[in-house]
Amino acid sequence: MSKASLPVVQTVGLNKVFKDFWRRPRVSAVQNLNIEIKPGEVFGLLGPNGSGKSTAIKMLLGLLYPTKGRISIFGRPPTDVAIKQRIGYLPEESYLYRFLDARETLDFYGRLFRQHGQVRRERRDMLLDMVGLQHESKRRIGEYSKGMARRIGLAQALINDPEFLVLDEPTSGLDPIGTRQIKDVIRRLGDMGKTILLSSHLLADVEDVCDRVCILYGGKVQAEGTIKELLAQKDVTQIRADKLRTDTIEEIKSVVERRESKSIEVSVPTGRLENLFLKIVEDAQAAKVETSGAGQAGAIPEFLGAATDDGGTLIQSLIQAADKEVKSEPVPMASPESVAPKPSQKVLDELTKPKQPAHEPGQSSEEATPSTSPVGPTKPVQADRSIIEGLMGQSDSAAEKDRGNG
Amino acid sequence: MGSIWTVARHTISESIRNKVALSFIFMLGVLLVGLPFASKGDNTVSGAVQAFLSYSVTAVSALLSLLSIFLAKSISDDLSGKQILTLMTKPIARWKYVVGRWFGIVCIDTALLSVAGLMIYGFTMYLASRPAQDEIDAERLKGQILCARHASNFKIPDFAAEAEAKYQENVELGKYSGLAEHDEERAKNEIQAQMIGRWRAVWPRESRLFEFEDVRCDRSPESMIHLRYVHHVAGFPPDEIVKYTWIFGDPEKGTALYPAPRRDYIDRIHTVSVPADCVAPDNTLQVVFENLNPYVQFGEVQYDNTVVFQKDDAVQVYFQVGTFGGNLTRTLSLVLCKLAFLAAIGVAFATVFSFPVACLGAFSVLLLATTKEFLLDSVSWIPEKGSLGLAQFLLNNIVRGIYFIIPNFDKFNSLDLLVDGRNVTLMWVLLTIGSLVLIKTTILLIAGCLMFMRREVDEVSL
Ligand SMILES: Nc1ncnc2c1ncn2[C@@H]1O[C@H](COP(=O)(O)OP(=O)(O)OP(=O)(O)O)[C@@H](O)[C@H]1O
Ligand SMILES: [Mg+2]
Repeated sequence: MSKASLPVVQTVGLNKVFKDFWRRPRVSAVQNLNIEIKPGEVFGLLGPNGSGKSTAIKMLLGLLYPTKGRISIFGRPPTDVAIKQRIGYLPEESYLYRFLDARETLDFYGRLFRQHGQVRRERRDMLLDMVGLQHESKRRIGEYSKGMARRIGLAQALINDPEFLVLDEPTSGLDPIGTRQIKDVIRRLGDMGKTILLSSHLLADVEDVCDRVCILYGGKVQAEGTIKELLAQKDVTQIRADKLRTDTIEEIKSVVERRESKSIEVSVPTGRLENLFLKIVEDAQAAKVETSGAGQAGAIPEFLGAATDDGGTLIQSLIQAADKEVKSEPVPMASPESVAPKPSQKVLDELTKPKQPAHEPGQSSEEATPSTSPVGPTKPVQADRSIIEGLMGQSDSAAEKDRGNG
Repeated sequence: MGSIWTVARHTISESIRNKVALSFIFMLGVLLVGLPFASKGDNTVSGAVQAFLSYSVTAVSALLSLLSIFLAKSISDDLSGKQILTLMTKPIARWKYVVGRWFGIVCIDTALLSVAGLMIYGFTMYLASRPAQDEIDAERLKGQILCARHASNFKIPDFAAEAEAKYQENVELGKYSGLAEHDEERAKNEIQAQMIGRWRAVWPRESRLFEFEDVRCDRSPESMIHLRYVHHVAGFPPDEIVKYTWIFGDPEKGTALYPAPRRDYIDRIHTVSVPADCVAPDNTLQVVFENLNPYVQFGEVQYDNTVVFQKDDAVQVYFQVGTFGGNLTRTLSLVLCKLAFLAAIGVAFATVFSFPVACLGAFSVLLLATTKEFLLDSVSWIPEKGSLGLAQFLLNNIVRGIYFIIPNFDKFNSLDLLVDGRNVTLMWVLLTIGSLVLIKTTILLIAGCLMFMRREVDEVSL
């Protein structure tokens, strides 16, 4: 059928200008956006703060009206009520009713989909189970922590088993395990043939799950394409292998150095999209592309210096660890000792173990994705790696670079 | 309907969780429980009941009016708290959301009003059960307050034919020949008015027939009808008492006949009660008034005992058509219509404005609606024609449109009747539902829906 090939989302020359009370244009949040998302695709929307990601998403959902341009979702305008039956949306913050508890929240949204009693209750309980809040489901959302509310937000977006899922920074506020779960959910839904639109600052995550990405800056598309296309570097040769021993790597290094007098870099692939992203943002800034979003961050104000006496050492050690992680010194990746001191590893072990009944971290496909970095031999160590990655290597460094350059 | 009800239900549970309903019932409880003991009236039970009724119904409707407007906050909250983003990506049409919110408010109003109604009824019954001061007090309570009576005015006879004859007679006598200008119609009307004036005055030893129509009461001899009259006497009798007889019934139609001889103080309202089987099967009632007073001549002074029924409601028949409970229900139904209108005002404002602004707007409308009667009386500030041409035309029509939408709440206030034990007709309630709910509330809701459909829900409210 032709329906299958029809794009789920298509925008033509989309523009959004926010006006003030007197109808004077104030912010040009999105400019000439043309995207097309095909069925079954996982599409990533990237960009620094204020680059217009959320604005674009809201226009796709009919929450904001475009100043110019056309949008079609499932071949219909975004204000069409019928297509909402097939859409799930998680806003950038979980805007939920504080006076309802988790069950009632999901019940309420289920009712809006005209789900019948039995179906509604089943789905509600399954989703609560999925997001790990089945035991807290009798508490008011107003009492929830940010991450807990986020989880309910995700459950709410999935209640109608949507064909098209829109997630605006789904992992914001989530702990590493929650982040990981969301990635798993996205990947699983993607495998099931759902179409997903995702905006995120966690570039590694985006790289992991997205088929295609679009990088926005100042409301304009700076780059768009499949991850492969975007990251293809003609003048680079990549060697990939499973778990290499340290001495093997050393040997390869020396061979390359001897024959081509070049040094090789052993790194985690996560760094690559990040590099691209940073390059695009830096280029855009250098080219003085106009943005109404966050500009270049300045120096840290002096008055904050006083605080470094207490927290300084901790922050310092965190930054050091993160730096090591990103710059990926060739060998130490294998041994967690160099990444984090032993005591903290123990603590992490204790913290994470009981909380992981649903997902065996070691089995997840993320771990299975080929990486040039050799990973420790036993499962617990692998789990630690991913947690630390989540804690520092990816989220922190990404956010920091973002702030520093965005 | 499904999603409207979902939103309405949500609104209701929100008000319960936010303790709005609870605090309302609490305040109502304080108001009503304290009141029966505080209100004394004129020390009669009937006076106390009347005072309680008028106070409690006024208090309840004022309190609920405010609440109706405040509850529109749920829409402003959805917009400012951005819950609307999640909501509007679900398959619910925007107009259904607006109507659902309104309907939820009306449901809350209905529930609270029902509770309030039951409390008012209960306290009224409690008050009424206290020992009456005297027999008049007891009778007044039972027959004139805790009932729903209908009042019929007498029929003024048609003197057109006689006026015509008199006019012709006058013409023949040449009464108008000397006048330069004379209007035939006016002359006839004058003659007729004179005749009616003469008819209203009953000379000593004269009698007068009053006819009533549409006396649709239970005609069994157990039920009673009440004749309520007030009269003036041309010359003051020394003892301020006049004598006469009312004779109820129509011998030609075979009804029972009840003569009621009276000796009454003049210039006061009097009531005569007789069994209802004097009413004819075609719902007409005949009452003959016989003035039994003589012309009295004391030396120089002449007492003219002519009895005059000056006003059209000087003689009225009252008959039971319903119960106090029914009357209270209908009065509260009228209140509910007003609340539905106010809720629509609040909702319509909240779709565009932030909560404080919306509230202010809705309160202004409430104020205008309660004082419209007064405004209509005191000012006529809509100029028919002005010097501004098209602008004037537009201005006039906008002002008129606003004036049309703002109802005159006085027209829907049946409290006076309730307190007086007079029937609040079902027709009145139906007409109010028609004009206030089906027309004006609907217009407001449509306006609210249109504004809401136009707006971007992520925009910051003004
Ligand atoms: N309702 C609004 N009224 C006025 N300006 C707005 C509104 N919403 C967004 N903007 C502006 O539009 C621009 C893009 O904002 P948007 O929220 O789309 O950014 P974003 O890419 O989602 O950023 P972030 O990563 O911080 O979520 C910003 O400059 C923002 O100030
Ligand atoms: Mg955003």
